[in-house]
Amino acid sequence: MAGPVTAPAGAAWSRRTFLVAVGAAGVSAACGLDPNAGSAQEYDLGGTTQLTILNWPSYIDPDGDAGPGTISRAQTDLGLQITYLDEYTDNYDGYDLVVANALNQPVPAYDIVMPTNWLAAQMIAASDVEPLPLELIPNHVNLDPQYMTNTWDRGSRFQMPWQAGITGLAYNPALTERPITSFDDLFDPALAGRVGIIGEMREAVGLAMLANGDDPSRPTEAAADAALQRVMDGVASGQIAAITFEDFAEKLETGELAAAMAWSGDAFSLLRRRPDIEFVIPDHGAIRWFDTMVIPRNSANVAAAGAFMNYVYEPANGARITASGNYISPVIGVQDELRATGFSELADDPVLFPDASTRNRLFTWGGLDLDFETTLDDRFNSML
Amino acid sequence: MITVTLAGLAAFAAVATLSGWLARQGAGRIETSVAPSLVSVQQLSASIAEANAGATAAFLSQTAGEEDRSSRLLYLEALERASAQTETLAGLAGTDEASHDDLQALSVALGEYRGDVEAARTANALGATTPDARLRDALGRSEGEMAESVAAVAAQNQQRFDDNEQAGLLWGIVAVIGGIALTAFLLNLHASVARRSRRRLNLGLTGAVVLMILTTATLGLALAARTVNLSNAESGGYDAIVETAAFQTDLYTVQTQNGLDLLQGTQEASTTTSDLQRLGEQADLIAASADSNREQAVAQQLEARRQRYGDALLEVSANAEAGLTGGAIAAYRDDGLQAFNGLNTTLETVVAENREQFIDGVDAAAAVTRWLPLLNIVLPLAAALSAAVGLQARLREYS
Repeated sequence: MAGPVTAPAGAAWSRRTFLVAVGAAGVSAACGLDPNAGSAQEYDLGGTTQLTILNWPSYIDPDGDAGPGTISRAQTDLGLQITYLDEYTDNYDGYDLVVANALNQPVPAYDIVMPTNWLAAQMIAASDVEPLPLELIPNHVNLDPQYMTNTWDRGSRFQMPWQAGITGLAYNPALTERPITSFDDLFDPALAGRVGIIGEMREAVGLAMLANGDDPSRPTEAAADAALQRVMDGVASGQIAAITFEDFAEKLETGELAAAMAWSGDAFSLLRRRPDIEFVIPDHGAIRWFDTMVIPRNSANVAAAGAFMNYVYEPANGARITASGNYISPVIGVQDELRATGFSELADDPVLFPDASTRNRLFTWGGLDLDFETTLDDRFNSML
Repeated sequence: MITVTLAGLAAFAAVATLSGWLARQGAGRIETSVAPSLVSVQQLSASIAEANAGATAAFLSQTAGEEDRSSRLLYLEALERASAQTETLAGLAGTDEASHDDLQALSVALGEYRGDVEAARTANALGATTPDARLRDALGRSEGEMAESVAAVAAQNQQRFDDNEQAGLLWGIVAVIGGIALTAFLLNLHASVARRSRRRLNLGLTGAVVLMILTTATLGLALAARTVNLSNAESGGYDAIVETAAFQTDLYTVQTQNGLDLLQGTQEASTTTSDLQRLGEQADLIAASADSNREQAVAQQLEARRQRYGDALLEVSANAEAGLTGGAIAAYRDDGLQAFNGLNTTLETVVAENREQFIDGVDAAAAVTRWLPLLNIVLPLAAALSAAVGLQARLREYS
């Protein structure tokens, strides 16, 4: 495990990658975001000043030419000693190898971890997380209500979303020679062997369910099973050539794939480099997911974790994170902040800030019986 | 004298044990069935009202062109919660036939309600001339027979709470008075024995006195602690739950009525203003009863969310009064629904905080009575044994 660090440096390709060409600091400067944004408001930390955060790689604005990143500023503004680790590479390894181990210690190794919504739901159900210290998070009021209605955490008492994204479709029109507007289109024989799907079961199965006319936000075992079988048949027949993660972008760019399931943040970056490639939210709808901030059970630094969550829910700080990662911010006021600081291009982007009509076509995985879902995971992962 | 003393101690043990047993049973029933029922029935009332709000919003958005999926989900999930809460209440009602009858009636009404909403949705999709007629039937049903059933179940559970809160109290008072009298008797007996004995201290009788003081004090303090804990749970937790549930129901009624007014074109800014003022007063009550930093933080969040909801509703009514029906519906469907969801789920957080406080208080009340029946047998018997030993020693000395 790495020792204390001040802030993540540089950006690397990852699921949550952005800004290879521009660089996060450059964007921050370009959009006029004040590198010292975020108030130096004093928080009652209850005597704890240590904080260890485990996040996905390249998922926060790093230190750069334009000034210190969010972690460095939080250390200064909040008086915290933050150990920031970007070693959470996927939800399975993240939970099995890192989080579960931490939870088995008397005091967990991490004070904030960032599981995706479905895993956060399972952790909350298993009492693996602490309730949020709401008295230290007045900016909880800035949480977008669309993330507060989940049946597994109504009101968001145990987790706060970090960033959200859309899993839709990306394609190269020159290669597909037709628009791709549905998951069904990936099964066009003309595209055989040139199609990719995302290697996250709930997103691949969810999108297939939507194409089948089923609702992944209220999944049934039969519908999920049928959708998974369809995906597996596609892989077995060779129609689907690749199961990708963030590398879908590279495969589309090189022409290895003509069409693929795509994450909105990485697609956003890809489209900047290759404006000829299209990212679409299918007619039947797309999958919306979000990564959460949770405090593992028995954390010794709950108050510091609450202070940090409050900090990143200040719109000025949330705007910097969004500008860096290009995923959807769950913080009310970020869009206005981006617009006010002169970066309307981001503020007006329909993928970053979906309008009501688009939101109506976004579905978040609703969850199934845990044993059944584990079986689905095992079957899906056998293809990886 | 031995016989009288032992008989007195046995009678005391019987009354104290009965009191402790009744108190424990009462607290146990509150902990395992009455308190969860009270919480569930309040949530049931809120769930039905929330289903109304979701159904109306979904219907309105469908009329405007595209059904809002989040409103539809709100309706479906609220209805599922209402069904689950009805089942939970039935499971907790035990042998209470009146509650079972009311819950069965409610269950049937919920099915009919769902049928009305689905019929309205289909009629709306097919472009029927009066598609909202069945929706109004559903809303009428929820405000009529369903509300009556819920109110009846709530009243039955409140009565069960009151009955169980008092359980063992009267016998406990009798036992405590008897315990004091018996202690005084034993002290007097000890003094009498000591006067006629070579020894100033009769260890057996002294032990009996100490044990009686211990028993009486334990019983009295436990019953007092149980009463205080239950009273605190009721005033600090349950009353706040009722208050919050009333706010929730009122909020959903406002939301539903706004939707219906938009359907009929009868939106008025003055109605909206008075609705918002009423909601503000209810939010103030919740804030005033917040008794921890955490609850105060949630109350502050509630106020901020309420103001956002108010702003959204005022925009809806301003558009409606200006004749901009499309703008009004868009404002209701977009910002209005988001603000409603924010306020609604924050209210859930308030309820959750109060529920924990209520359940904690009830648990504490049950915990202090858990060992009472055993202690009330063992300690008086030990006192009797000790007194017998003391008096036997005096008899041996005399002979």
